[in-house]
Amino acid sequence: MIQLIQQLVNGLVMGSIYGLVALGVTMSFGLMGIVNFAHGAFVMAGAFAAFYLTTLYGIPFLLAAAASMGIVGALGFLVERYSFRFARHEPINGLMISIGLIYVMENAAILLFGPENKAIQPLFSGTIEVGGVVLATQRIFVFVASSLLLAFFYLYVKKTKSGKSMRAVAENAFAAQLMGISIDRIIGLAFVIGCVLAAAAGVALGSLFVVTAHMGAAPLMKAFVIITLGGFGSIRGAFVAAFIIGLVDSLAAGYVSSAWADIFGYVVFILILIFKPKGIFGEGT
Amino acid sequence: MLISLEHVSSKYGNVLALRDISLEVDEGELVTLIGANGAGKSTTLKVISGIMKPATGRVVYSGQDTVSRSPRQLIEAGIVHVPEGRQVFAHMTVLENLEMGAFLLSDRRLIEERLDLVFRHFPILKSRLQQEAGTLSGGEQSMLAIGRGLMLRPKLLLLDEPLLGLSPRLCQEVLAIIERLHEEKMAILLVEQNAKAALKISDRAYVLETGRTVTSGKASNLLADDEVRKAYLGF
Repeated sequence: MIQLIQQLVNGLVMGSIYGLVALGVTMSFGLMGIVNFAHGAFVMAGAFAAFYLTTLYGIPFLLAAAASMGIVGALGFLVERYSFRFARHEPINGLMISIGLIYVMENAAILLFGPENKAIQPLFSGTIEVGGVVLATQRIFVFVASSLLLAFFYLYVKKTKSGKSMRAVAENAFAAQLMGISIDRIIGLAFVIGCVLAAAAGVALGSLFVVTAHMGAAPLMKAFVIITLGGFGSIRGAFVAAFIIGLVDSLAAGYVSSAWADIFGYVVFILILIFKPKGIFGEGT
Repeated sequence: MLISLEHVSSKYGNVLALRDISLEVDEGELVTLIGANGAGKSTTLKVISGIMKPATGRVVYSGQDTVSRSPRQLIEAGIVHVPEGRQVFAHMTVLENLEMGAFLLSDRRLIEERLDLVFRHFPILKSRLQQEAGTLSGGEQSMLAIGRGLMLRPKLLLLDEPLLGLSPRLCQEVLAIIERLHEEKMAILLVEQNAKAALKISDRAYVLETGRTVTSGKASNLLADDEVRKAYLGF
């Protein structure tokens, strides 16, 4: 029972991180039609930024996390403005850009910071015990912080004017343009938000595991599974699917074998697609 | 003159869509563009709303050339384009669709006023506010598309095929609303396949053929002209 609860909590922790990554991927796809393979590189960039700020400059964790989100957001702004924007009418070019960006960003990270593994000093180091279940405090913190970010994002997209216009552009850019909505501005903003959330995921992963130049690849693969499972472009679907994949992975790791953990996520993924080919929530946001 | 196009041509890539379009719409006038598919009616509207730029010729709105103005600036200046096929945001609620129509307004009270204006024309929308637009009937979607356009209370309303796919009864309903907007002194440029119905409520009309304006005149005269009827109206 205790093991079950621990695995469930781990699943929620990973699910919340995957959710942060998946949102950026689903926005790039929904707004630009681009499958952004480079999104994992922004996760990595976030982790590196936080590692440097905390370890080298001794900046407190929370401040470093916020700064990392800001830095990666600015990086995302530049990348969208000066590369992806020119691929808007030819999504295959966007795909090529994204693959090129992986090499550029990962190798830049190795060049700048060296190839060895690093770790971000977590905010909390101890454990807490709730009814016999021992949980790492940092994990609980990551889950709470990530979930808060997901909730903020959801409210932003549902309730604010700029969030609504983002949904409008995703649904019908032509009609949105006729209302005076600037497509360029909305896509740029969405890309930046996606990168900020990716950076948050990177800081979270870096504080629980290790920081490496290739650390973005695994959560990115999960994100692709998640947005397919949730239904392309569906934000609600991405939320639900992220937690499904997180839970399946960690239960499999706990009860079967951590070497096989990924397999179970993909099996669930394939099974759901057999019965619901358009994902859990079909199409739409 | 509220808007005038002078010998406008326009291209999609290398394909000439408009060859020589000249037309005018005066303040408060209801003008219809008729012509076969591919004659350039929708393209003409796109040039007016600034989504497409003329290759040659001039578009003058309220005495100013529009060439250097962005679509957004033209919307701010009062030109609202309701596109063909309704194009409502299907997964957003009716209210959200209308709010998007008012994207350029920030005064909450003004937006409320405009919502009331839209509900006055389309009472049905008020009872559907929280429903997703994609779940509305075709007629209701048409009304939503026009209502969304009215949120900015345009000086010049461009309506592209608002009757497309509507039952005869709904056509009458939408036509009645267009007439009412006309009575309220809104200038309207209407593109409509159902030429007879459109001409009946219009002041004037232009006939387009392969990207040219070939005939124009008072709508009642065009309706009565046997040549025009046979060649362009098909009845």
